[in-house]
Amino acid sequence: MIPAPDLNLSVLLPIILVAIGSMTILMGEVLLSRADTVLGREVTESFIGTVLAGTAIFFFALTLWASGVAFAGGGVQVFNPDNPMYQLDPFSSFVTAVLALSALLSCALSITYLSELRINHGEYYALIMLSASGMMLMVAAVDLIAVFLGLELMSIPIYVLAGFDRRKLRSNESALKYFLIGSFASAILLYGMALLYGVSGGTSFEALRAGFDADNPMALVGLGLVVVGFAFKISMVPFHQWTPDVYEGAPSAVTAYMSVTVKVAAFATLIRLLAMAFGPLEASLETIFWVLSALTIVVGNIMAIIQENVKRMLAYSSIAHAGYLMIGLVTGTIEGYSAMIFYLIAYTFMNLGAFGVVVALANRGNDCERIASFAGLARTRPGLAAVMALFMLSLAGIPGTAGFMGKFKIFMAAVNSGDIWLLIIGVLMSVVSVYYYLRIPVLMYMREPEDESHRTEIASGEGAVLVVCALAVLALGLFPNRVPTLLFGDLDVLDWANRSVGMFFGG
Amino acid sequence: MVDVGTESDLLRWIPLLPLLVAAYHGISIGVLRRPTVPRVAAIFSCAAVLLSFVLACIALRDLLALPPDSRMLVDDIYTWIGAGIGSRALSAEVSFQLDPLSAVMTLVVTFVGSMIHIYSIGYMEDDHRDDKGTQRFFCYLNLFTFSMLVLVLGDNLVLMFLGWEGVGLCSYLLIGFWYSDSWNAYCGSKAFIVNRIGDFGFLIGLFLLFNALSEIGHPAVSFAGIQAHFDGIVEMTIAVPAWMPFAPEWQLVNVIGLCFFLGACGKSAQIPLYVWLPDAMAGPTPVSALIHAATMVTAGVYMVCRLSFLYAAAPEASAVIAWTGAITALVAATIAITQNDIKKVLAYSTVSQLGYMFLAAGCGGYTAAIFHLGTHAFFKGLLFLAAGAVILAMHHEQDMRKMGGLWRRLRMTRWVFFAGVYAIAGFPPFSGFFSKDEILVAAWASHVPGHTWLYGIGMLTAGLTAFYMFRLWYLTFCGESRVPSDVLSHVKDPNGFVVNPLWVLAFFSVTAGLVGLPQIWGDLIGIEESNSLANFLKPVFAAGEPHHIAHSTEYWMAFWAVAIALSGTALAWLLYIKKPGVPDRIAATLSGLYRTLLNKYYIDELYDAVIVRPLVVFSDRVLYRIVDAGVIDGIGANGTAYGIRAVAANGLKYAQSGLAQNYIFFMIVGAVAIVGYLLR
Amino acid sequence: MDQWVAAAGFVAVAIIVPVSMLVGAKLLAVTAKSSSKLKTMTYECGEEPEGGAWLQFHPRYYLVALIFVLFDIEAVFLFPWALAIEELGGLAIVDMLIFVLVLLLGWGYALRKGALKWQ
Repeated sequence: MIPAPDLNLSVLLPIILVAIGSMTILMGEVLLSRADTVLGREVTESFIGTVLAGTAIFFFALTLWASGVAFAGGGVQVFNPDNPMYQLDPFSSFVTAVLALSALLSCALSITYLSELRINHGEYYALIMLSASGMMLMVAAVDLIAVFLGLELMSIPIYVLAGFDRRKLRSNESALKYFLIGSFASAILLYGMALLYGVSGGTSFEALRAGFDADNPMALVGLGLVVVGFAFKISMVPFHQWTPDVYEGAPSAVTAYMSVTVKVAAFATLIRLLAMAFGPLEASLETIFWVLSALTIVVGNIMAIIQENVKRMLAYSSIAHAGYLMIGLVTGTIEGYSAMIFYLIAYTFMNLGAFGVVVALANRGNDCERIASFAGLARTRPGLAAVMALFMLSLAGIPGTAGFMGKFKIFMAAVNSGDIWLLIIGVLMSVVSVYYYLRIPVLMYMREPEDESHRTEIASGEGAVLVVCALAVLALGLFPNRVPTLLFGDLDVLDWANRSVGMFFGG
Repeated sequence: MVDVGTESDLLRWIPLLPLLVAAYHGISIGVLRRPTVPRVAAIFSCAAVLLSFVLACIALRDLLALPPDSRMLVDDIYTWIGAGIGSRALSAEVSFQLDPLSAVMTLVVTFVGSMIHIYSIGYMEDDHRDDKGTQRFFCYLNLFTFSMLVLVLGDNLVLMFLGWEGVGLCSYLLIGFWYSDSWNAYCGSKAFIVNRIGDFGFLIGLFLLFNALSEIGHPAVSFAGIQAHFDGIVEMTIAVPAWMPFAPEWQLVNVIGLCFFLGACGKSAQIPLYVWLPDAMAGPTPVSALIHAATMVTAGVYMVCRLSFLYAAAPEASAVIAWTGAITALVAATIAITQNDIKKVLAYSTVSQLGYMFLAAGCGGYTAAIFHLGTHAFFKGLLFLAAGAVILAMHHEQDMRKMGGLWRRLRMTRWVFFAGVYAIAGFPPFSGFFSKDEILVAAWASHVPGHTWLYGIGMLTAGLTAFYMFRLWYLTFCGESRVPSDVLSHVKDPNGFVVNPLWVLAFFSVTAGLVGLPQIWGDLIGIEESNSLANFLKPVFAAGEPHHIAHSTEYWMAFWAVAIALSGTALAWLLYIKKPGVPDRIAATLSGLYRTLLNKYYIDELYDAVIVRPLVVFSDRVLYRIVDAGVIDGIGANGTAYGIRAVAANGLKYAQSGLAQNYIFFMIVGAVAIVGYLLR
Repeated sequence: MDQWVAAAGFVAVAIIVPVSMLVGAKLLAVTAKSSSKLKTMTYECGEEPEGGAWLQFHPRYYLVALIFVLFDIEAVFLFPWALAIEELGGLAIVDMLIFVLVLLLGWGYALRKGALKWQ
């Protein structure tokens, strides 16, 4: 009789919830689509879309609640004590909560958009949930195999989602490119993991840490390749070039989702890898991250300047933000990591908001793409223009917004760890970024409207997401350590960020 | 710890009421763009200032109820600026204090202020140059009152500076009130810029003082705090290079005192910064009366008196103040003799009278300075308002050469004007007589080098004052009318809003001297402690030990003062009534001197040539065209921007080919670089 | 030093394999003159080619193949489970039921979507 392993299913509860959600949606789609004989095709589609999005939102809310409870409880739980693959700890539960929240907002954002683009298929939400479950697996993983499993589970649905608008050439190109290059990066990552396994004789982070020999070239090659694999996911220069093409081609709602969640998940996993597995290699990695970060900030910001397509511009802006986030990795301090987590939250809201406005402008099968089409938006859509201006200011890092507070924390960490030159590059390039971010408010407020192709009314889902994002951007920018809420009292996001990474520093 | 006074929540409302009404006006014109009916707006403003006056009276009653040595009301609202730690901690409170000095100032500001507000209702009624003009005017006026009250009530130098800047701003706004005339806008700017020079001195003084106090471990900006630890910094010195005068060391308090005095020179129009005040007459006449005669320009005097403990320890700085004041008084009086614009005469007279106040303050006669400040506020406010009434009656004619003989026409204005002229000329028992006498006594008794000369200059100026004021009087009201007949028939007293406040002010111009009745006169009529103002203010001021002056000497001084005023009057009568042709002949004979005086010693032209023009040329040719447009904009801002765009557009763009295989190539290059670095 | 050899070996193999494949293809490929009609002709072993090589396959080939792989893998998991079921106990049955149920759901989805309809 083989003794049954002492599994702790509650560790995987958030992920199981999301997985169940995705299956429910798949089945629901199949069952509900029979209704078209009764209700007619048009009605059924929108009905199904709403119901399925509601289901997705419900399950994400459950996940958010479950991970929130786990975070409040604190402590570290391991899924299988004999072979620790996944663990539920303050870090994973906090990041899971952030992921669930952003996925929830993305779903709410998609409902009307999908029917506007006539791609209202129920699989959309199932795919989002599947990829979300992959992300959650990845951030909870303490084993290379589990990391890879999560990474693939995250990536494959997103490849599909990128090509979701299958009648559009751009969307197909986007999916294919992402898939090709992504597979390539996965292969590199996997090769690196194999080498690491060969060196240390185990795949768990613990084994890696114990068996790591910094003088062993094989270990170094493995480490380098793993870094490359992640650098692809978070689009560090020079592994970034897929980003603008994919972000541009994918449907805007998908771009909103992937630009935020993939980055959060990949950065969180990198933090965990560095803190738990590669601690001894801090010094040599620091230089690499330093250079990558500087390159990413410079190239991302400069390339964003010349973009005429708003989605491409936001793609380069997200590259630049990845560069700022990378500064936190360079510092390697608790302050830097907690600043990264805070920055990721701020980035989630402002980027989702910015893409949300783009989504809300999509009309009759057309995405809103040209930056020039924002001209005079303040006249025709004052509310949207106001929140868009807010998100742009926040992305640029103007004080009073979440973007400023995030940058401030990151730069503060850089100062305290002595990375002054990186800080100088970051600040200078922030100034450059103001140019392309403020172009949009300038167009919206100081030019006459010319483009009539925008949608003229906003859906309730989009409106709710934009309001939430705008309020969050303001609240995190004005009082990050006591965000006022009506229901739950004041939230101390800074403290949460500290607590979530504190576990890596024995806190 | 510093002794704090009695708490009183009342104080904050004294400045706050005008601020609230100013904010209301601002919102209704600026934000809502729906101006209130002018008359209603004006009444709001007047009510606010009157209410402030009532509150000030109540506060005064509370103050008088306290024992004389601890007469201090405080209203600490919140910490405005908190910065630094330890011995460098700066904590500036928004905190008001009412001690006897503030009380006198507050009463003067709110009382004269409310009179002038009421007067403005009538004066601004026919102003149709701008549809929201009236409300804008009252908005500025209330904002000014607020700032002035903050200035006099603030319990620390930083808050005082806030008020100081606030009144400067309002002065600028109101001088240029009719901004569509570019000359008015120019005058406003001139006032503002000249004041900024003084403010610079104020700030430097503030920094030096704070720095010195931090060095002894007691950083403070509140007056009480500074005074409590002031002894510690009296002995400090600053080392200066050998080529500077009085090297190698300057006493710190003297430097601080002079810096603050530079600020006072700007605000109170003393040499060398007096040039803005005559031009400030471009503003509406109530503004001239309120800001440029009665209240704002006396802020410098108030500051010197407020810092009397500092100046008492800085004899050299005090001497500079006294001499500057005396010379300003004399120079301004000589210019006033030749001016033909009725408001210009009054403006130079104001400069001259302010010189008197500084003369007193520099000689240690702080009480005399404040006394004269108060009486001057009444009679100069009155004179300006009365002049405004004349100007209104003459349909905005200000040249005295086109007046004359108005005595029969302005039947009410003539009396109040006469009261004002008598008061400023210093005839007993009008208020100006007592306050001017006090100053002359203080000058005579002081230890300032050359104090007898100061007395002499004061006497001479008193004579000149009587002369030019009666010249004004005769030219305007007496003699043959030189008014064109079609205008003359319309000349009549303005409406009640204009005239009634004049009566009130006239009453006080005549009687205000009695609150500071010098003891020698009190002895004559059998009142003990007759100088109630001096007794009231005594706890505030640093006590000096002036020379003792016998009572008989004081009587003689009073006699000569009256005598010289009389002779000035007589001379004016002789020249402008008895033999009207003589002044022109004198002017022709002494044409050089006359033209110099008429052109105000060419000081404006001198400043223009020596300071303004070189500065403008330098800033345009060098700073703007070369440094700013060329280097900073051209190379710095635009150059970088174009450079970065060019890099992005021409360089990096080609790396982004859109082909997946190229992307993978870059990835491999990156991966090789990373692995290569790790394996180095 | 031997570690370096190992690392270099790995890297070398990783490079050699694809490069040798490409080079081999280059070497072994029969090159024809550009004018030759044979060059553009599809290669068929002993048969006359019918039509071009770039013909489109119907997606249902892929679908069927994908679903086949899915159940193939299920079988791969089922065999060891069946061998060890006696020792694993009742919980293992529940586990496998869940596993099969998930796959069945997928199968149901594919069926309902018409992936297995062969028309």
